Amino acid sequence: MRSLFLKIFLAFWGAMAVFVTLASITTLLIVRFQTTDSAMETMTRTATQAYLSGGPAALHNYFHQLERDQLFRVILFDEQGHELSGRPAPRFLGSDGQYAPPPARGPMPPPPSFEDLSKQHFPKHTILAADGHRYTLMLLPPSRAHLWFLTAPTRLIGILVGLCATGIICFLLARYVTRPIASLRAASARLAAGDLSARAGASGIHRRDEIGSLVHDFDRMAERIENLITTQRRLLTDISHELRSPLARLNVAVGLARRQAEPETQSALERIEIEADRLNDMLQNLLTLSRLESGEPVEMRTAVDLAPLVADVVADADFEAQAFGRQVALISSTACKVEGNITLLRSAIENVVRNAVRYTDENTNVDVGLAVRGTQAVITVQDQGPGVPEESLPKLFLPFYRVDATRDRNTGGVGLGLSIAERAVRLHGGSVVARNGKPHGLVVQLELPCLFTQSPTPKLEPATVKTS
Amino acid sequence: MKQVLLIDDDIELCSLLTDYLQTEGFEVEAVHNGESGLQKALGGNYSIVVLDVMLPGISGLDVLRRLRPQSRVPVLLLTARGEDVDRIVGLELGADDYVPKPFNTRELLARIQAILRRVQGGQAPGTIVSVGDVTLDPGARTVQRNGQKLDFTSVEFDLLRYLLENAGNVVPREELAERVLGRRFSPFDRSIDMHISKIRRKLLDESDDLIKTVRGTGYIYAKPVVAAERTGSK
Repeated sequence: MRSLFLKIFLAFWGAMAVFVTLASITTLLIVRFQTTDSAMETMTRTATQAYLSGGPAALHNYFHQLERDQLFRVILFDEQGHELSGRPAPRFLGSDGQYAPPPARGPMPPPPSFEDLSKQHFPKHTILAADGHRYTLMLLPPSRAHLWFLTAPTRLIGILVGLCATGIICFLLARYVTRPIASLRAASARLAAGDLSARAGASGIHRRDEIGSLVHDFDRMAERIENLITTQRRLLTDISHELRSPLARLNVAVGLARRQAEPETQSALERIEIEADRLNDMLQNLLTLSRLESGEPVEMRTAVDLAPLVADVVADADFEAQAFGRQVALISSTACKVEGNITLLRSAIENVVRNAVRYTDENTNVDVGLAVRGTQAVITVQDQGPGVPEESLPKLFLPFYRVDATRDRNTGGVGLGLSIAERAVRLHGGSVVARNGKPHGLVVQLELPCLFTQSPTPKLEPATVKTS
Repeated sequence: MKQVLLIDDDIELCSLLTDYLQTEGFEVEAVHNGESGLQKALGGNYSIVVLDVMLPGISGLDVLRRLRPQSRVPVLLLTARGEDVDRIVGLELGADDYVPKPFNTRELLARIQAILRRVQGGQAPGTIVSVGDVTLDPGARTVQRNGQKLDFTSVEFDLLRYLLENAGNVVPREELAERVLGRRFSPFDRSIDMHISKIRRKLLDESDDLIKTVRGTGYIYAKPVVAAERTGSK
């Protein structure tokens, strides 16, 4: 955003600065050298008339007035080459038309004569006046000091004023162009991060041009996406809620049937009961997931000590895994705290560890580690299972995603545990990534922003009796 | 015969449950809203109340909140699956246990029977247990600390009694679940931890020095010696 703003701003401003500078220089050039013939004619006639009616004094006045507006010096000669205003041509006129420096010593040279000046090809104009004589007007460049005085500050001030004015205009222009883009960018970033209520037009951009339409169209798109997703989520939640009651009745009915059934129908009823239990679990996960996604406010302000929490989950999971001939081991741990909701954090870690237990090969370990990397607490869970095809890795956290339908069915998972973990971690401002381990197995990493308290000394926990 | 009060707004579910529990030898009375459920629970002489959290009108949690100051009748909550908060709040309010709904009937039955067994067992006279400044009388079902009477729900009382009787030894959570709650321990079930934290608070044991947590294993009630020293240093 900044860079586009800077680009536009500098490009426009640079272009305008060059233009202003060139314009101020060109104006000077025009004033100095491009006096038109008709202007020469007018000046000569006016000067002659002033001389004829008012003598040298009037002519002097006219010249004075003329030179105040223009940069050149003016001289009027009669037929004999006499200077008429009583003001001699400037001395020190060098052969190249510039004012020569005064000689270092010796007498001052006389003012240049008409003949001298004529050799220099200065602009001149001769008219035949009413009294029957010819008069010649000649333009000389101003003295160097005079020229500097008139031009340098003018040019400098002109350029400065020009730069300031164009700077302000270009700043406003660049902002006008980039502000909606910045707000579009912010809105799309928020939308991508899951904030479906993000709108670009919210910052008060009401324009009818192309960018205005883009902002408007973006907002319409965002609104449509929000509607679609909200509807979909609500549908999922509503279905899950509505399924609860019939499922509860079904469960009780099956229990009742098993009480009264003949022995030959028992196995079928047992199967129904198992499937009903499975539906119960799925429903629970679905409701947890939709609760996490609904953005309902959750109490998130507790400082949670991760090390004992991870140790607890590992101990519980190990207890559970041993029944299936697998183990869960905590291989590293470090003290660190995060801010959040302990129930959600526990469920996130639990779901990842349980998933690993489900896929690790028999008689192998699931290794769990807790480390602090920079400002992030990193919980790593590695199993010794078959791993996951690379292209499936990013999809692991999608609800109901199955890497391999035939294999997963035996494990009893429905593909919601990792989604729950991912949503819970994201709610805590963290992230979950999955990659394949070496030489095999899946590695899932939960990253959570650490909480750095004012007192770095860890509080001793008298309640904890260390057992090894 | 054991009397069960069933408070649930799902009439069909109540009728199925009534049938089911009757085959198990219970006498069931079902009511379908919180207000009359509360009146019944306060008025009747029930062995156990099975209370659904999601009720029209006053919710199950409100029923429990209003029931507890006046009655110690055991309460089994039916919490909605996916609503962890209800479960935590319910146990805080003094529910004895919970079953997430929809539930497996055998699990519901097991929990009801566990609660009843525990309450019955508690009525058998036992010897007074005294550890440090805490005295527990199983006969009168009272707990005193420094002569001050403390109020515990029946499940909390039984957990504390078990810990006191085994003071100085680590009691695994599995053992607490099986011996006190009367059910198989499930590792990801946090209800024991929640009950223990409630007991700690009621014992005014905020710093956890009476009941200590043994990470990943269970709990230990601090030895009388430790408790006596602590009291002496004050």
